[in-house]
Amino acid sequence: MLKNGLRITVGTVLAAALCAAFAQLEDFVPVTTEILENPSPADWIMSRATYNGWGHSSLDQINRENVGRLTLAWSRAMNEGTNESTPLVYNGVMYLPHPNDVIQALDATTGDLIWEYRRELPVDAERTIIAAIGNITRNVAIYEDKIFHSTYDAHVIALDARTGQLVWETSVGDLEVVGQTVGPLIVNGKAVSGRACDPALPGGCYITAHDVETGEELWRTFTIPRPGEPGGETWGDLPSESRLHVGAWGHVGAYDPELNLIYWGTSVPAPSPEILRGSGDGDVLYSNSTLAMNPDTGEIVWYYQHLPRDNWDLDHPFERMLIDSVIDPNPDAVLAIGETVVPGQVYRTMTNIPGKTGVVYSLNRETGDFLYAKETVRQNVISAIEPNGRVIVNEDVIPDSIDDPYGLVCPTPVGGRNWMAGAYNPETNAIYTPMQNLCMEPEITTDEPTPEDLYAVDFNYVLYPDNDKVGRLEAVSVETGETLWKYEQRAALQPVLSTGGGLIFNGDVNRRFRAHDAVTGEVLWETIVSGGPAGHPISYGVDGEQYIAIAVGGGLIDGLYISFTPELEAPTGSNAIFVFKLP
Amino acid sequence: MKRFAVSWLLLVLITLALGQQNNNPVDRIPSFFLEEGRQLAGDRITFCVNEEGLLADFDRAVAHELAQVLLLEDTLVDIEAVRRTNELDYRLPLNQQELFIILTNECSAFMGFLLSTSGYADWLTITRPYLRTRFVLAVREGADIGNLGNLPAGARVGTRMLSSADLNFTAFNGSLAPDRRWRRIPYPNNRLLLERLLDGSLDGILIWEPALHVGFRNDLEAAGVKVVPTTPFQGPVIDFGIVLKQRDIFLRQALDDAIAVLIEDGIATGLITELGIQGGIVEP
Repeated sequence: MLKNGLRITVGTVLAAALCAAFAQLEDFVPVTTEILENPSPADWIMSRATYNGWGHSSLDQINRENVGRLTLAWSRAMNEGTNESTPLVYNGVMYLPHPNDVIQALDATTGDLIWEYRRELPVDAERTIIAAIGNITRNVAIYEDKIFHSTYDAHVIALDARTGQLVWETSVGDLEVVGQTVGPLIVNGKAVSGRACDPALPGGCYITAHDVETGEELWRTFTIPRPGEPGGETWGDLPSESRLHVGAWGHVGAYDPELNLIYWGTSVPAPSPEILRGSGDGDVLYSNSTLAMNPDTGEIVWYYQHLPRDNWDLDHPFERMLIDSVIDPNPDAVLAIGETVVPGQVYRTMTNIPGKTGVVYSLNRETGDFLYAKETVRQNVISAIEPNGRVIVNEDVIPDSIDDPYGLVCPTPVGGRNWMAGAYNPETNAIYTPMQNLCMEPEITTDEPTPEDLYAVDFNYVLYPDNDKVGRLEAVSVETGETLWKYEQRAALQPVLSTGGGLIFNGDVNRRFRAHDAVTGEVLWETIVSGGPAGHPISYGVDGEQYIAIAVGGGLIDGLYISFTPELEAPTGSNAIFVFKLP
Repeated sequence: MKRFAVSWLLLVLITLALGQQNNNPVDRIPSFFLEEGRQLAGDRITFCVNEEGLLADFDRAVAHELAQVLLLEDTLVDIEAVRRTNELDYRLPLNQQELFIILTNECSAFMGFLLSTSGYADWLTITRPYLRTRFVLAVREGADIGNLGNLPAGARVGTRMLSSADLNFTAFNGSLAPDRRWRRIPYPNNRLLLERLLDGSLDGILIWEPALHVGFRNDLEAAGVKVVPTTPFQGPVIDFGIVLKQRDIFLRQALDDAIAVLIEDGIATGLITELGIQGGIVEP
């Protein structure tokens, strides 16, 4: 660490470690827009594999019949820090983001090093709790001959994909209050990226786009409207500088090239209790929303708010899944059905669980019209959803005064679902989402909060009453909203991968990594790794062999999860990537 | 200026962990650490001060005088905290883990700790307060306002979000009939409060008094601002003491006595006056 803002931005590039591996990049084929829109099944070329955000690989060499024979192909230690990484694979090279701004290019068949970028970081990046969690890197992006990354010290950078050398870097704000846990999505020659902003930053947070060639910032869209702007009235008469937080920190959004729209999720306002926020009973847009944006301008074309009036820190900044499907909601299985829905009609939808409530939302992604919503984990913050899609919150769990207890609230800021991405399998037309069966008994902080109390609430997490299983993996039909199967266990669950072999890969904080049958949920294979598989699993192919890769070592809140299951263990200091294949 | 290291703490935690595995943690921890280890070295006592704190100079001066009373030589360690210190504000930007590390590695006592009514971690102890400060209502000089009660319902009253005054005022204002309430506008920092009072965005601000004076360079008149009573709202006072580890309770008791001496002898008041601190002592 360097002292006091002395920032050295030139990363350390380790000279080519292995000539044979380096040769792979001498023949580097630049990634085009066409490749991004139609990637090879052998590649995992962006955060959620494809622009539609499915987290699905169509590779099927590893399947229900043979997954039980999976064996370790290689593993490799990773840099220290919270490890929620998603590897990216292109033409046999793995681009692996580590915690604390280390990026490596590896031979995807052996893990041998090709190059490494290691950014030197100032201590200022730890100066607020939001900035400090920026040590997490969930993904990088690739386009043309560059690797794109959102850094711990509040920059968007581009590296030469052949060498790891820094090409450009652009500041995106005050490194003391900006936290970047998620990297860019490349759309139309722009690196689009979201982030979290500490409540100390007046006016809230923003999504940006940078020119991939120069790093020039092309647009910046604030996630909180200003007074006088559409939606600005939802904050009452609070001035801009008192409208705080609302980031876009969870995952990259999805992109529909035909509609030329990106779909990005947003997080919560701060503080959580509206009585302290000063916003009255307003909706506080665009918190907990899906923003459909023009990627060329940043203009918000439509929005849908999944949870107005947040009083509970229940963010909605996670991946979005774009799925074309027949929509025919089962009234007995869903919470609400939209007034525009014609049962049996095919819709271009955005369907998945976008936020911590665990509620599945299906929207018409062309218009933002509400199609249906379905509850999964226990929740009592939403009392109803009107046919027009308007979400009605449960005022019984909103305090009227500082000393008014919330009562039992489900789920919690750590889930329901959290940053652990789900996946969609087109063969089953189902989404698979890892969640946690937790509730809370929040109390407003009556003493001044410490620096780590962003939301002025003591959440007081508890397991579901009458339940001892924290982890829950649920498969939900996109067409009907019905739960197809549900897998519950003691240990909290981690991110999900779907494959063409009919498999759903998923791990838990207790170091287990397993494969489920996508149709039945049956566990077909399980192994034990060095730490919690909190990374986002991927699948790729090289030379006709399919691989499954998972970064392990533990996520940001594994320690909290494991506290509910004291007989289990979530070791730290064990960051690594594990790659499996058939013998 | 020192930054605190974690290595020693890690050693202790590892030792603790090993001890837990053997179900006999106390045997694995040197008794020196548990009961006898002190930052005292001979006739010296080491105080930490948040170098970015608004009261840092005052804290250093008090620490020096306390050492004098105890017939010790003082060592002052300026801590550059990892966490950001809000400008014109008072909270130590440290969480408990960071505070523990500092009190392990750097000093025996940390100055400027905000006393709370909601309890503390078991491992720490706090002296009696050596400084009391208050929140005041500031309005523009020309305003015909004698106290908060003169502001009409709906008037815009600014607060620093989640400050003691903000939390108390929220509760107080909420207890009034809706048509009698003021419009509370919380801001993320005190600097903005001052600016918005001056530009007329706010009709009054409930602000920590030292921040008001320092923010206006100790010349409220030149800034065109005056302080008026907060009645009928009782603006909170906040007290500052010294935090130590619980195991150092003997030292805390000595510091309590020394603070009492500073107060009784007028030394504390003298420092408050000399350094222009807007605050006072807390009578024994």
